[in-house]
Amino acid sequence: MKPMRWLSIALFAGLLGWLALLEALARPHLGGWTPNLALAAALAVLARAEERDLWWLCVATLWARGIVAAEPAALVVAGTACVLWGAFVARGVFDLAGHAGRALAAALASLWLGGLSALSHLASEDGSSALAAAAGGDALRSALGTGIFALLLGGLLQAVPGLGPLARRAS
Amino acid sequence: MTSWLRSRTLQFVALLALCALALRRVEGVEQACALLLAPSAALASFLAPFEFGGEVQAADADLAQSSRAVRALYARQVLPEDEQLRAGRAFVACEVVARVAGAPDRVIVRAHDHLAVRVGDPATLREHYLGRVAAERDGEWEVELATARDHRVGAVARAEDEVARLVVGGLRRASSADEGALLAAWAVDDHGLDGALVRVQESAAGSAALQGPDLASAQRANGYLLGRLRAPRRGAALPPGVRSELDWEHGLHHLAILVDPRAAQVGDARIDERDPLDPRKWRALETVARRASSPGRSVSRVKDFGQLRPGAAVASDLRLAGRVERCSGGLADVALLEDPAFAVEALAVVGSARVVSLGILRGAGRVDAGSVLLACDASALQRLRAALEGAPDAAVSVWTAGSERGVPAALLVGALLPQQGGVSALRIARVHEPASRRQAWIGDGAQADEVEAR
Repeated sequence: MKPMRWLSIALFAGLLGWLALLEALARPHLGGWTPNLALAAALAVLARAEERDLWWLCVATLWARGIVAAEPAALVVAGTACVLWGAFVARGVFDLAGHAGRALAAALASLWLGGLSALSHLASEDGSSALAAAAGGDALRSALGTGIFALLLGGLLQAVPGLGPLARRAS
Repeated sequence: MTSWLRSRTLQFVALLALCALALRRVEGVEQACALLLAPSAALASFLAPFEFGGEVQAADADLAQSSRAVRALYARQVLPEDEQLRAGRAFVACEVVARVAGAPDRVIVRAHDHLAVRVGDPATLREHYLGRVAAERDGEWEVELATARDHRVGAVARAEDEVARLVVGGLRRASSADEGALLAAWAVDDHGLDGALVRVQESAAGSAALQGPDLASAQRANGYLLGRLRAPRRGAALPPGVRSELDWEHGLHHLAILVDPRAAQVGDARIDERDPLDPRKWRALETVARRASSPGRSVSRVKDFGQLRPGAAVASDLRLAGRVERCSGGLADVALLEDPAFAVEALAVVGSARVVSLGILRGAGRVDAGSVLLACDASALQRLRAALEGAPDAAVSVWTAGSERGVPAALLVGALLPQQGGVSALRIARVHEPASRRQAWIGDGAQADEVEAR
């Protein structure tokens, strides 16, 4: 792999990490409406990434989510892996790089992660339905916020300087 | 890349399996995934120059004084008001620090005067008999409560001129749903004393039931209250019961041990090892994310420096901010007060002298930027209302009870705010503290591993 590509992957990891931290800073003010910034950015970039970069981009996405996702590690890995896999499959059928595609993909991905979190509360031994209900409500709000964020700023994220070598897939 | 790795069907099946294992919280999978996410902590350190962990902050002088006063109040309120129950006895105040894992009828306590306590000494709370010291372990004492199945204590029931001897110990099954759990009464020699007060009365004649503990130790508890005798309903094949006023499950935070007066004042105050004012028992935290991304939760993410344990209190200047929920991969999650997973045993101080047990308080959301809701049992609300009846304008502050591993006594949870209408949760004022001033309690050391999620 060329050094420029490695640099792009490192920049991608850094960008996602910062977006995850920004999300954490915004959460006390926006509450459940806080968009899943790192996830939206990851999907926007992955929509145009080449097949050979996908594994590395997945790992970077996982690490970025690992910074702020306060769920058991297995749930973070499983949820994120499902989202990314779904995006890989979907990008062969739909245009995930376009406005509608990336907004819908980001909203659904956020909803899936929130839903999985709610399900995990229900499935846990103490079975906290209050937690599950709160998680479900927040998942809907967050999905909407993430979709809007991806719609408005997804294009900008795709054009972040330094990520060019990752976005060479023909649309 | 081999072809089978590229098979979409296999990938899909593998992901489904991973989701199922994650939902079932399989330990091995959890550990493997935590390892996979371990670089996240390093990435966060590299990218997050926003928060810095600093030195452990010295407590604000006023708050430190209040905390000290509350601890002293806790220690005083375990003593009986009745002079007869004090006369000729020596008391050692103790702090409950945990329940014995797998044996909820045994509590672990730390004593103000560790060297005065002996196995067999009775434990009391105000005028109530609680049980007796069963064992010592690692500088702490294990107290077997009267609710333990094999616990037996000689007693006497009195109603006007009538007297009946009996043995009390263990729990009796309730004969109706509203009766609640009662202490079991055995060998009652008169069943016609329904409602009579039952007090401990160990005697040489009845001491055989004790099977071991020294009679002199046991007799120190003579006169202490067990409850009121309750005859079973007609036709119920149950022994009589004794209704105790104590909340055995959540109301035991501090207690007294009746020690041999000759051994008292020996020293070695183990209880002081949990003094929240001791800066060595705290560790400054470095916040990675003030609010972690988890739907429906209020969780802060901090760096785990290896000394954090699940259940450890996180405070800012003696104000409880939350509790460590989980540590993994170099990061730890702190459930904040309003988080639905947050729970802590707490006491309310009404005015400046009255202590009311609130049992377990659970996070129930945020009202506004300055207050949170903490849910508690209806019985706790009833106790609080009763305490406020005599002094409706009295200020009420809520403090940690300290009866859990990882949480020292007398950390301020907040001041109680007035609420309108039907109240099912307490509205607590929260003082904003910068996340960079947060510190975690490490005073219980490795023993915090015994913390059990209740």
